[in-house]
Amino acid sequence: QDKEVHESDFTAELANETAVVRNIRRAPPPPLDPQRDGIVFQQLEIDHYFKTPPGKTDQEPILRMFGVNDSGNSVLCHVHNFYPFFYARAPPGFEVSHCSDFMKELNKAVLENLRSNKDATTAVVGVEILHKESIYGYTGNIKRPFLRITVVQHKFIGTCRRVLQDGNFLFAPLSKTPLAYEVFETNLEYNLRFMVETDVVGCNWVELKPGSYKVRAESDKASYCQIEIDVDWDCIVSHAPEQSDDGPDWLRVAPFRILSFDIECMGRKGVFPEPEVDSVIQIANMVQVQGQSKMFIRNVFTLDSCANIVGSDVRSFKTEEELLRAWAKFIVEVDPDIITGYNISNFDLPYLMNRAKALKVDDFPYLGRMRHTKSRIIETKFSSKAYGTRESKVTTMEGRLTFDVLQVLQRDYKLRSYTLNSVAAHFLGEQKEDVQHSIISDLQRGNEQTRRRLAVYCMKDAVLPLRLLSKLMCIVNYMEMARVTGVPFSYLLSRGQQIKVISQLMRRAKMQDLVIPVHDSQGSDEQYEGAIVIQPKRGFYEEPIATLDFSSLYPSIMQAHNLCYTTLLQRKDEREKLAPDQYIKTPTGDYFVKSSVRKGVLPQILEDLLAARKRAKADLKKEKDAFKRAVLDGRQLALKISANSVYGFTGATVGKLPCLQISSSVTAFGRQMIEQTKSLVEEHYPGSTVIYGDTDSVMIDFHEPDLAKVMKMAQEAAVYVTSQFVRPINLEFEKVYYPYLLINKKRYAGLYWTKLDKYDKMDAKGIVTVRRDNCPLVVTLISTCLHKLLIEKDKKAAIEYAKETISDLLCNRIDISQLVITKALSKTKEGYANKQAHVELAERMRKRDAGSAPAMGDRVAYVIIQSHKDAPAYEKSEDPIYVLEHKIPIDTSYYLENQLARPLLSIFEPILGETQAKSMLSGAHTRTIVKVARSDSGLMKFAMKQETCIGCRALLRKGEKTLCAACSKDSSRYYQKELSKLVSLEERFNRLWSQCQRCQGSVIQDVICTSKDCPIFYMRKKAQKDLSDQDKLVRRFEGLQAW
Amino acid sequence: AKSFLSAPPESALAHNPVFDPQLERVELPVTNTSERFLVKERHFVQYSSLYFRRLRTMRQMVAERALAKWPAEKHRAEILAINGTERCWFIGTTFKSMKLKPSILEELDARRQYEAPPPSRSKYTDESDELILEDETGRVQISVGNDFPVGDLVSGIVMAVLGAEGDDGEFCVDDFCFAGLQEQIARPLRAEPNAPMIVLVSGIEFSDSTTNLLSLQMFADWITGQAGSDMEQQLVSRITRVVIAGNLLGTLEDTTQQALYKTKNEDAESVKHMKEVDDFLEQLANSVPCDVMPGDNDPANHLLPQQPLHPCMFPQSACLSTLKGVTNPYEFTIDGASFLGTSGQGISDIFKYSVGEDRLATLENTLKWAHLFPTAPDTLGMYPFQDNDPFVLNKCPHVYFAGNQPSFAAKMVTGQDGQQVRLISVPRFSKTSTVVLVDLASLEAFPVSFAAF
Repeated sequence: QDKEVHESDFTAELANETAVVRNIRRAPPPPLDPQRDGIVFQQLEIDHYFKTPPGKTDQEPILRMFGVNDSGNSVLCHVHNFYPFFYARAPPGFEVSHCSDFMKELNKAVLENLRSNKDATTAVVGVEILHKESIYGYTGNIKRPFLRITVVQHKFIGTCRRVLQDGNFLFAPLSKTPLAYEVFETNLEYNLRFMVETDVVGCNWVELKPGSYKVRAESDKASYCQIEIDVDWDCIVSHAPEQSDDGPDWLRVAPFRILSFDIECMGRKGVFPEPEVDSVIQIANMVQVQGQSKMFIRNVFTLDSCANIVGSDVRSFKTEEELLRAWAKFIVEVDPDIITGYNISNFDLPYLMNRAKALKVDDFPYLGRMRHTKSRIIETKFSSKAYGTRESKVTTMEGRLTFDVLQVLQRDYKLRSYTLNSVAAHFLGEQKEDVQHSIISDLQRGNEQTRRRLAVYCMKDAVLPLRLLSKLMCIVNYMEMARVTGVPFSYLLSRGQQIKVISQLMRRAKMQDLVIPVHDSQGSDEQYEGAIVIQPKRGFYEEPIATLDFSSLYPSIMQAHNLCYTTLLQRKDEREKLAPDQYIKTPTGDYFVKSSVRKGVLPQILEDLLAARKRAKADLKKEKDAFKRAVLDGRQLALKISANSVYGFTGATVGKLPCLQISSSVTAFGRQMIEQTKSLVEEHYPGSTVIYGDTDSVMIDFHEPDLAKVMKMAQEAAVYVTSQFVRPINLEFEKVYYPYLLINKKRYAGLYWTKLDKYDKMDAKGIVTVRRDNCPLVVTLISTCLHKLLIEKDKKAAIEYAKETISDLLCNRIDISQLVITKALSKTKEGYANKQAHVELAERMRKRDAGSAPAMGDRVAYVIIQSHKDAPAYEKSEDPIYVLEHKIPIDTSYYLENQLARPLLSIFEPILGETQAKSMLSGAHTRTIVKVARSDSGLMKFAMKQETCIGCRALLRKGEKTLCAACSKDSSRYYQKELSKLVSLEERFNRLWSQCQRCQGSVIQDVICTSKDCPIFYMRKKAQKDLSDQDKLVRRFEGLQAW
Repeated sequence: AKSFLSAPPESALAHNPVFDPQLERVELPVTNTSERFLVKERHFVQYSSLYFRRLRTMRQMVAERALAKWPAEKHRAEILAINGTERCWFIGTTFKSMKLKPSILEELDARRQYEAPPPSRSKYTDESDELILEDETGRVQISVGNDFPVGDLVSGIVMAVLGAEGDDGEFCVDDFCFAGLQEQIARPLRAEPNAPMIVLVSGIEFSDSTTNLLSLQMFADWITGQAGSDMEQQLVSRITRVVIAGNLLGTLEDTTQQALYKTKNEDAESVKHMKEVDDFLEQLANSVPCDVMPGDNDPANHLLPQQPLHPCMFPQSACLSTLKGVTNPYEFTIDGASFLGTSGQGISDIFKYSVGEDRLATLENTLKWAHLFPTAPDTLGMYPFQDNDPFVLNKCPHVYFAGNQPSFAAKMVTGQDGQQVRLISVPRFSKTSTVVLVDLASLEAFPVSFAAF
């Protein structure tokens, strides 16, 4: 065999190979002359630290702005001398001359009352009188004296507030007895206060003029940023994020660096990896510059050797300590502005941190930009009405933004599953290999080839988050949101909607000399009536149904009726001072002044937001450049969301400044308008009926079959109704549903038309929820039926399809992946109050094989199998793979009754009537049932297996192997019937397994993927099993006759 | 109706026809050498071992050619050993990544379920197609510039490429080579006036809409000696064997996907047409030995190699000793000439995934690639062999044919070592009413058409 090519020569050569060296550092900045050169950079993150300035004894806050300039250099700007402040209502008789003494007295009182920081020598550093007005309630447009109290540190504000509010503070020059002071804006965060005062909004461009700043020498630098400067707070020039035709484009985005990474750990069988025990074996990294599609750094850090990966930099380490140390160094070298990945906040980062701690790699946790600041893990609990409660971990990396794609998706998209796998399939149309923990360990223990395999897998997991970010334009959109609402970028993931409204409210209040009272949030149970709907008239409408929508209903109501804190008439005496045409009474009996008296702040914010949105939309239409279009689209979306959250802010009882008079008036107006619209339309178009009305839309049946006519009438109706309301309330004709299936409140489906030639899409609301305890079969069945009903307009076909699906289900012909229900195993068995199907199953699987059993945090996939009568559901759950391997019969009636029945009836009842619809669940198609004998049952083990005739299933007699004597004469028929099944299974087997090879990117390596989210995972297993069985059956014919 | 034979070339006809009322058909023994295409034990495992075996077997065949072609060039035995810009050659299995390649994953994608199915195409090639070479150690993307003929290649070929890695990690190919034609048993071609002949026919395609029954009957009458002139009959008497290269049946409706409550008492669609097939074969085999290969439409297994059709489907004809069911592919030796042929799935599949239009060129390519079905199992059904890949061509046949092609074509190709192979594209009878005659002395092939008016 001298032809065999010598292989051993190459391993030696390989050892000599060094990894590709690429310059991963940022290009050095050009020399900077602070007297001649200005600095312009986009700030991405603002925080602060404390330091005692030279010559002083107390710590003072110094703000830090981190950012990037146009040439991609990292910038850190220390901002000095900005002190926090708040307001208090000046008591009667308070004069300018009192200020200085008041300050001293208050300072003393505060220092005495400090609960911590007892060694502070100064707290209050300024008191001045300003003329302001409280934002809450109309008080005749009169500005009154307020005290602006400035303190050294933000934490003194709390003590100040206590001292002033409690009524124990005596200021002798003013009164003989202590007074209670009303305080304002004590709860505004320091960073945000700074941003409001300097007009800095999230991610905007900041400029420092020549001569206004100092550059730090390399030796004085506190951070790894390339340019580090010191500046006084009032030297900051903040540029509003706008683009003008002559000036610079302040909408642009700096070329910042995004790093995405993923780690792999050595798992033990049946246990989720624990950082105290299980090693980190690989870390893959991808680095991209914003605005560029190429990932200019692609590397993977591996424990133990790893074979070369073309086009990537493989760095192998002998020990885990070296690996971790090298990675931390790598982060500092690359100096990313944004760190992303999938679930890095709650898994990868804390894992690395804890692992480094366990291994005592003390120089690891310096991942931030500050040279001497350790990264820490902070456990946070985030609660929001909109997003629910979520516990999460934050690993601090000062100066860098953590942007976990999983968190973004959980916030912005409602999905059935959030595994990277299913998310990639959903948004990118890519299936991704999913490798089990235990296999990861096997690959690591193998050789450099198997570790290479793992590395490729790991790298893919690092690439996907970047692809998702760019596909969904997350960064661009979030940046726009930060700019529009004025909050720092990092708030968008860590905070709720309220902070965005507060930021806008503060900015607006500052402009108008308004101060915002402090609301002690206490959860009240006060409920106001929600938006009632016009009771739906259930049915299947085969005529076009026009839908009219109030555009931005709640914002426009607030604008039209001037609803605001500043316009609220709380007291009768205030009202009596006004003429009756100067105020309005809302349907809830609250009073607000009209804009002629005083224009509300909230309406102004909304006006700005909606005007900006209009501009963005207009620009969007003109813009040709794809990236700028993305920016503008993100902007208009952010503006819309912000406008809607203003209403929510006034209704949030646990919020910073709730005002239920506003929010309940808004909804009451909304209800009234829907009802009014109904009567206006029905009067104006005799014979027409409003069949349904939701929060901000009405659906009209004009009883007119012609689509074009309906569209025309709907347009006219919208104009007519709009003319009856106050501007800017606007009823718009948006779409026609044709046909339309109205099931119930918020549950309907229809074909969506906006133009005459073709429908836009099929719209289905609230019919099959994304709840995971629905199996995919339900979703498929319902959406297919709807498709047949609405698009093909073929009721018969829809019914037929439903019947066939039911028949297939009862005959065990439904692909098992369609029947799988998944639930996350989030607690131990003891953690659940009731017995749960997925928990019980996990327990059973652990007993069977601890290695493959789901671990804590995994998702458990199960199907419901047949069991003895009256067995509770939790006992009937089983692992789908186990079911396939052992041919365990599925409890098909469970699926029919508990999964399919309800949604099926709900869509067919409006069409067929109750009785007819019910008959779909019985009838001829439910009578052909295929029973599967389980191969693992006790009885089967003892039963003598006797062959039956393939034709008639009769027991075969001695000497007969395939068919009984009677069926023998029809052997050709029976053979062909069984063969045709074999052929279709063979075809499936081939297509499925070659698909998996394509997906994993190798034909020579075994497919090891176990992604339960992949539609073909169970299918390929089943095809294999079924094919094997069918092949055996067909081969029994071989004994019959030979050529 | 009257039959017209398209006249065979002069050379095929006897030079001095002598009338003989008792014409005897020439009998020649045939040796079936298709043993390796019979699948005995079946294990439906995944395809990785098959690809592994294919590469292991063919690497040596390709390496031999590459060493001869590039004696002075550096060789790398593994893809992962390719080192930067160093010029070298290596061997790998091709994988063609094509955006139009149908994917079962996409078909199952719920969101695409209602979209109009993609327009049916005769070809899935696109300008964006990419070629990747893979071995046990990894993959490398081939840079498609430099006139590299991505369009002509398909997945599953084991080949060698010479070049160097470019800046972006793609491999820029300067030259490439395949395994080429393998060893052939010497058998001089000779011109012989009355040499025995065999007939190749494919694509008879019985179905509900069979339209050319008349042509088929004319063919049967002709071959059984019941039609035609004396001269023709004499010609027919030289036909020693008929090989049916697949698709006795046309495409039939697949009922296996319908709900059971509707089909449980129904027969497979093929049943009634197999009776017609049986009648036809009985007629034929009573007069001339016939070998029947299964084709794509026939009631046989789908994964290649297809096993012989089951005799139980031929209650009348199977008892004739002259009728034999054989495998697809089918290899046999007759009169010292080795024949290798398929029912054409491989050629038709390669046609879809490469740019070429010429079926004979494709047939020739598979010889050069030394593989019968390179695109299997990626886009063509194939049994997951674990220990060997029986479709590797490690010998060179004298006649190499593919059935069920759109038209007749034939040519002689000469290999690098002087091998001579007759390539034949056997047309679908149902569309062309044409069969192919092969002269066993000269190995020349010519079409005979049965046009009915």
